[in-house]
Amino acid sequence: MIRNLLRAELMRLFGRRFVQIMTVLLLGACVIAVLSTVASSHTPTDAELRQAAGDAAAQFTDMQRYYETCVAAQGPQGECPRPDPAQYRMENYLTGVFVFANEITGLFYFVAVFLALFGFLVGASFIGAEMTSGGLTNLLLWQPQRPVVLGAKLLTAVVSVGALAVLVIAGYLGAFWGVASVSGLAGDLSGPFWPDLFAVVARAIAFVLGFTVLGFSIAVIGRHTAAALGTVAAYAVLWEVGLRIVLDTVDAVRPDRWMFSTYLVAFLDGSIEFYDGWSNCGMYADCASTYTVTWVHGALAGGVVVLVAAASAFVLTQRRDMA
Amino acid sequence: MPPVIEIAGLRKGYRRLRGGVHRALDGFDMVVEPGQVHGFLGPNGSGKTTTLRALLGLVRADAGEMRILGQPSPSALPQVIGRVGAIVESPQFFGNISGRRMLTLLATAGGVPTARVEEVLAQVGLRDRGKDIVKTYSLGMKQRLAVASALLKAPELLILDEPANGLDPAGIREMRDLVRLLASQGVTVLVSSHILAEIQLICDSVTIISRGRRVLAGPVSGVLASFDSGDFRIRVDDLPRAADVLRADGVQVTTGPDHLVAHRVAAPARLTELLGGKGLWISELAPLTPDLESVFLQLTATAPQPGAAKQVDDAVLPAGPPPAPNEFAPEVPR
Repeated sequence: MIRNLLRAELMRLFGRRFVQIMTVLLLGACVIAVLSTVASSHTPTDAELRQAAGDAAAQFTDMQRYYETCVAAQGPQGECPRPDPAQYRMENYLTGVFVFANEITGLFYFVAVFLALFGFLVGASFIGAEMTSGGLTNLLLWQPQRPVVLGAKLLTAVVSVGALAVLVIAGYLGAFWGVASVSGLAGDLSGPFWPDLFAVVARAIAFVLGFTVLGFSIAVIGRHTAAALGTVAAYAVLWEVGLRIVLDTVDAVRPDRWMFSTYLVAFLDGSIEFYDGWSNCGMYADCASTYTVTWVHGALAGGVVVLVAAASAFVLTQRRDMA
Repeated sequence: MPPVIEIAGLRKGYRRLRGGVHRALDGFDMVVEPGQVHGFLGPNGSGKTTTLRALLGLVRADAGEMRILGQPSPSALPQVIGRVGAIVESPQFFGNISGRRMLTLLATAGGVPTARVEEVLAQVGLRDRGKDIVKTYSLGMKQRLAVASALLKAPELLILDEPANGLDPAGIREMRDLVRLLASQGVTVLVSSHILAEIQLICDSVTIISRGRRVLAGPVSGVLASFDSGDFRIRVDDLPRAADVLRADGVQVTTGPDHLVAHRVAAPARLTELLGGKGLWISELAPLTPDLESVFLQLTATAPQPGAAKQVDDAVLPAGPPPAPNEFAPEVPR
């Protein structure tokens, strides 16, 4: 019975016009991102490569000289920035050339956010439209166990969005690797590059799935797709903007830690650092004048929000009358 | 055999926005015997749909007991729902998929062979329109699709809430024939409808609800007989003289513009004997048997009054306290 339900939900999900349109938009956005990169990149000529290598070496030499001068003046304990050779690589001095290692993470955030929006909207509309139209009531006349019906829908949405996200991410990264191979450079792929990229990808998939569950759950709680959109809009205006202004006005301690967006960015990016105006550090004091929110904090905050929303959706669905 | 549907002491209240509770169901009882076509009648807002929703587990009752196919509802609904086909109000379908695909989705979800889709599409007259998307359907076609969805499971119990809603006269007749056919195949059918002439034609028994309480239940013939006051319409040439003749014999007579009505007549032959004996030849002598509509309007006090707009809550509230739970006996003897 459950398998039948999941099969039917899968057919229903991909049979929905909204999902089809959103999928086309998602793929379209990815294609545009890739094509615009293709259009703005070219294979560097030997002359460009030589010029970039020369610029990198000259810059590194200048910085090394500055460092040595600084150390001579301040001693080994002075605050003299030692130049990192990795920063002075030839590909960093090329213009109009796509360098995979340098740019893929930033480009990937774009598709991760787009996928999260896709998951949120698809999750919300998948259940919201059925609640509004009476489709859910129809289904309950076939399978009266509400948690089973809701769970099947949520599972369908999460698995489908997750599978689509994996395919889109693989295609997206593959396309940019192709661009780099054909009309750009791969860049420095050594060291932690691939582990870091895979960690970002893994967190991005969790990010997308979290938003899918969140959109679905808020739509269930509000019995309408618009409830999910309205909640996000209301939160953004009242909390992220309104409360931020209030906290700034009253000089609150570490105001960013009260913002959900902080945790989202930290989760996706790995960490985010904020200036801590209340750290009582003097300008040259040996203590941290910043504080960091890591992806672990983000996972905890996001996980709690998603779990509370999902649990509320299931409890309310079990308790209340169906329209 | 036990009843297919048993409802006793069902209560359901909805909180009003400005405080207080609207009692949609106030100790409602209903019994539907197997193999019957049972009519479920009541004015707008009397609690019909709430009853059906409660029975099918869509709304939570505040109190009362319900059994469906011998199993308690809603607790054992998952065990029996595969034998129950239902449409509640006018179900809405996604507009952008075809009727056939809509039914296929439901059949897939319910584990019903998809071959059944073609059978039910043909059964409700949508075989040639099954490929069209639902938003191109008329109201009547959507209603047919809803009935088709209820028939997919080849149910033992079919619950139809306003099945004739939006149907054209031919569609209403087809629906009537379909219900009769299903009943002849042993399917128990519970029909909620406002088309009382249809109910009278197709139903074996009825339950009438008003303001959340049962006001009458029993076989249609029994209900009508219990409201039969023995009135006869008489047409003769000389109405005043005929009225005098009948009154002289103790018959209560009301004079109409072109006929007389004789009340509480035990032996109609006596009327012909009396009038014929005085040379008054009867051109028409017809019993004024009540129809379901007049019984319904009388019981629920919802008959329209000249110059007054009846409000939905003007329906009669049955006198006395609501019946105690577990009283499954119908009010009208069989």
